[in-house]
Amino acid sequence: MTESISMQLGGFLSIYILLLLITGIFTYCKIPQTKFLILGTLQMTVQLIIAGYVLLYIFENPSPLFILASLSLMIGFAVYRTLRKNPWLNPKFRWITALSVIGTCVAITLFMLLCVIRKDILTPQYVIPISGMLVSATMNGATLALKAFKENLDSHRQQIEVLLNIGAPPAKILHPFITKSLETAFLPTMNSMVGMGIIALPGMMTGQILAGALPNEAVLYQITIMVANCTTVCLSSFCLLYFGARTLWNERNQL
Amino acid sequence: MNILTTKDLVFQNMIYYPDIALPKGSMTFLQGPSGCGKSTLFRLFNGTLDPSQGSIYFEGTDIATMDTLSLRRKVLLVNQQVFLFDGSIEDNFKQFHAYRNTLAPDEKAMNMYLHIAATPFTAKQDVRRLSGGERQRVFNAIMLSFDADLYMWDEPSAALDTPTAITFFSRMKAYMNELGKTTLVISHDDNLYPQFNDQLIVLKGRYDVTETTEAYHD
Repeated sequence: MTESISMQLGGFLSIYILLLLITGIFTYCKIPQTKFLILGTLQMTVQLIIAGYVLLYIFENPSPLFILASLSLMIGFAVYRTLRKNPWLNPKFRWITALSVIGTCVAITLFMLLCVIRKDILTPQYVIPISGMLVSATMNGATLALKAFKENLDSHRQQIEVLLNIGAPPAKILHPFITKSLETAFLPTMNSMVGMGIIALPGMMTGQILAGALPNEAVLYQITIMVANCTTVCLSSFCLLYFGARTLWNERNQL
Repeated sequence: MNILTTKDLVFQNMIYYPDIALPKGSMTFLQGPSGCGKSTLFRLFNGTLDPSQGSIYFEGTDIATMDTLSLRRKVLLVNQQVFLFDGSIEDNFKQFHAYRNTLAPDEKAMNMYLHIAATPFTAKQDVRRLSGGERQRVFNAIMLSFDADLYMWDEPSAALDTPTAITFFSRMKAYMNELGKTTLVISHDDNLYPQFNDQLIVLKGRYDVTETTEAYHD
């Protein structure tokens, strides 16, 4: 690795001192999450260290099989998390959610590599980090979209029931809730896009700059990844809500 | 002539209904202890629920074979729980009609429906400042504008005092008679049915299937 980003072990370990600060605040405010904080940090540390070595191995031994395996693992985990956070989904809705997340992630990753970055799709240095960023954005977007949709349905039971009884088509009744939930899912991505460069240097760009890349080149990568992020969030949330909502009523228009 | 009849109607093997016939143009009151399936019967009639056994015939056609959306426009269920959009009464007429792709009534017609529902407001009134009883009357007025053949009112006067409820019922019944529409009412207000009912149907209550089968085996 480049000289500019290598870190000394002592320096690295000193970051954990900051955890003491959080523990102090938690104790003072009687927030019973200290155990979760310690375990969470520990889990993250172990996961990332393993990930680092796995990626090192894959980069040194590039094989389509490894790339496919890590892509499947990432997307599989994203689908699993999304579904687990939304246990109310019916079986058909679950399939639609899974397919929307998988389809969007694969399609936009391919587009990024083939059209934008124009690298061989089998170069692990590109495929894995880029798909990773897109997959995690998609997971957050999908989870948020579904959660917002469920909350909208629950808080508008009365409206839905009345409109159903006056003979309104279910698609029309649910449409405003789909739109609202899409907005909710999309808002964090848009907000972070607007704040970028002023409030914070985004993670990917920071990483590239630390690794010695020129800032004006790093921003180009950042811009493309941001647009790609927005697209996956929007596309996956739209697909899963639009097609998923259709599983909520039957051919007798019963919800 | 009957507008709606039922035969051997059962819901989820729990509620057994007597055979019902609603003469066209009549006002029928539906009574019975709570949980006996009055509101469920309304939902079976408009096809938002399906019976587990038996049939419902609307103007001679089995409703299981009908398009549910057009059925719900002819057999209108007026919910017990009032719902109004934010905005003026006029906005509400328009929004509700937009959901059905029908044209909202003009201002004169709106005021007529509001009058029938005993609403002392014009269509310009904002609904956000209305009380529960006032909202119910506005809701009833909007429902009247849908021009259904059979109106099923589920506690339409629950939030109204008796004099207002009587005003609404007498105006509503006169309007329904004039247009030959049929009305079915669930109401706990005992002041209403002696004065307005043409037919009274009393549902007995739930029959637990396991109990009846056990009794049968004995």
